[in-house]
Amino acid sequence: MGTRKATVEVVPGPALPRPTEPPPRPARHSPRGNHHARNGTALAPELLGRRRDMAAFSVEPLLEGEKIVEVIDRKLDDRLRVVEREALDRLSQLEQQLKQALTDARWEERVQEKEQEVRSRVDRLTEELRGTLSSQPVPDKKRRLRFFDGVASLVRKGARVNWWTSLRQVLREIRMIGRSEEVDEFGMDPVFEELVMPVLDFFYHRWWRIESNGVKNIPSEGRGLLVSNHSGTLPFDGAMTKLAVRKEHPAKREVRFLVEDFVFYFPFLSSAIMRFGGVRACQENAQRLLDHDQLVAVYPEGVKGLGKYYKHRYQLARFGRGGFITLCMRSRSPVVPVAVVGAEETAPIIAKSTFLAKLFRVPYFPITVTFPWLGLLGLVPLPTKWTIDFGEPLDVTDRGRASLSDDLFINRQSERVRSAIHNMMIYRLQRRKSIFFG
Amino acid sequence: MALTGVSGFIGSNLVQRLNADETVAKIVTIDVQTPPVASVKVRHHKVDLTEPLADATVAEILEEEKADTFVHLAFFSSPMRNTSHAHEMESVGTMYVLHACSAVPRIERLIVGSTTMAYGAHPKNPNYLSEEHPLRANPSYRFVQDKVDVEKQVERFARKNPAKCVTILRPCTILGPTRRYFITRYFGRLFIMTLLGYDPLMQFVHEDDAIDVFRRVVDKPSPGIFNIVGKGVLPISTVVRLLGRINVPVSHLVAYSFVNSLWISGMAEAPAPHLDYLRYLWVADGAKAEEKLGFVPKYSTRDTILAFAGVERLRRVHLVQ
Repeated sequence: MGTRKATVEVVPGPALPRPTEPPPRPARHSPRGNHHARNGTALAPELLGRRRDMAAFSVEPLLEGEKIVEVIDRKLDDRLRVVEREALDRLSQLEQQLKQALTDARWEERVQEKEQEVRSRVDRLTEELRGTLSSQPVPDKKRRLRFFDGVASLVRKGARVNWWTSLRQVLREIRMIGRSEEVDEFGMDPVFEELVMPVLDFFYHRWWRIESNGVKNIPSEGRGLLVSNHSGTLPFDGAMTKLAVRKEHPAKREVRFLVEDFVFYFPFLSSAIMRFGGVRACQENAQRLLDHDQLVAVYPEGVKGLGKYYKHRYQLARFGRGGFITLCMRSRSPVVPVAVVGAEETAPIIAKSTFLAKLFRVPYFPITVTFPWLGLLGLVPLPTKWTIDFGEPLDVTDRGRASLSDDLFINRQSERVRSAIHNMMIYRLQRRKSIFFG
Repeated sequence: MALTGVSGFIGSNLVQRLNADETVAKIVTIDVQTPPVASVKVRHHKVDLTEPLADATVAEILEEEKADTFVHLAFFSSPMRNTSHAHEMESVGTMYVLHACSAVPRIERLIVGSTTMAYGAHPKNPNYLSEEHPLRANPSYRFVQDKVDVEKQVERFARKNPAKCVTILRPCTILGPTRRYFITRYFGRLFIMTLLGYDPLMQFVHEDDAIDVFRRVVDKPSPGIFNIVGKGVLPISTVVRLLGRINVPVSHLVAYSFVNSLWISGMAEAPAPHLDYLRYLWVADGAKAEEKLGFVPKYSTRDTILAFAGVERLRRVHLVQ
């Protein structure tokens, strides 16, 4: 009776894997059982502990102990055998799968895919972690946000606002839309540029349908000075030359265009041009850019060219005082003559008002067919067909630094560049049939 | 070693650093206020540079203390409403100091602190002003005009005394955790007034870098004028955003008279001509200091702004004074 009692007590105990299993048979005295019992006491101290616990409940614990152990042992044995069988089945299955995968031709690709997936996930996680740990954004990550991407990321971020740090980050994100945290040394802002690029692309491809020739004349590396004719009330030709070189040149070079002083007196226009990459025209700035081996577009006609009458179109004004030649000599950079045809008809100036110019403190106040009659809308340039020709590079530095003081030489070189541009313009104009269709 | 203006920001920090340096035997301070360190090395003389005959007093002190280097830093860091007093203190005070320096042959070196504001903000400025560029500050801005006047006097002094090594340091706007003056008060507000449509590039130098370069020049004789600037530039609108402040653009057509009335009524930090510095470019080129002094700023403009923003945040919750 005592045995029964003890076993019944044991069955629902937590040590047994399944309480639904049938109650164990009464213990047999066999050498195997004895052996297990010995081992059981030696190998499984927790079993021993449990046995002692049970001892507290059972009536005759010392007499029945060994039998209980034997029962448990047998059960464990059965269970172990089941598990072993299952494991072996699993292993063989896995082996088969592995064999299949190895024989599969695309397994390598799949592994790579998986690896990439894992990698990107890890990257994303580290980024997120970094983002939440620091209030500052990751510095080396290029923040190339278009406006809608920016909005979308805001919405995504907005959904995650639950603590102060991320709230601050969201506010920061809102503040920094359309601007980057770092600008180059002349204030060019890559994010802003990307923001306005669709508009300029429209003007480049659709509005003026710009065609460029001879872009390969621009050196692929090193400094260079692009000298061009100037027109069109607002410096669109600078922006378009920049775009043309970026789009057409095999090295996708960046051009910094120099802009007249007077632009920098104006609100909005000054900061927009600066952020798009325009630089105020002066010797120091051009020298600095050329020293950094950049391409610089200059317009030696200056304001005289920008405010040309319609009747004077394609007549090059005086090329300043040859400052660009001394610049080339000092920095030993080649001159690439550039002729922009089509830009001179975008805003046909029929008269200028000195009174209004004084009133608005501008060098000239243009009166065109549309401006100021249509208000600001009148500033929209006409959709003429443009051609930008890049000529062969000219070397104006052939006599080196010694000729820096030779004013006659400088003026002669300046005239040489001017006539090169003039010839390119005439060549293109002779082949043009229509102002608007080319 | 003699210093004026030791109650000022750079002066007080410089005295502390020199005091900690073993190689400096004696520091003579000339100021109306006592210096921030009490040490056997520091000998303080109370002199008011606006008094007549201050030059003779300073010369006597220099003779008596056997000083060989003179660091002149007795300038105001913020615009004063009492412009005539500021003029007496800066222009005339410098005149007295220069008199004393030329009268004492033992003085070999003169170091003067100025500011890049002296170049003046102008739409026709090149993007990077070199040290040779003329100083074209707005004539109606007395605060900067005094600095320009000081520089002109010092240059004249350098021409007259070719044997003496004269250094002028022109730091740009100094920001940092302990620096407090009108610029930090301007950037410390929640709403920052800027000019509508104008977004000039700004540059900043961290206070540690600025003090470091003064220390460097005191150690090593290096004649000439040097711009002390941090690397990189940022448009003012981005600066305001990085600081977490709110931009209030005001049209320049009304801003000048508006700020002027605020200044007269004591509610603005600076008079109206200061708006030029929020409107046009006045960025200086630090290449010469890097080449000649070996000064490479530890903080870029952006780092300086972020450091300042961090301290401002702590200051707002009263964790920092």
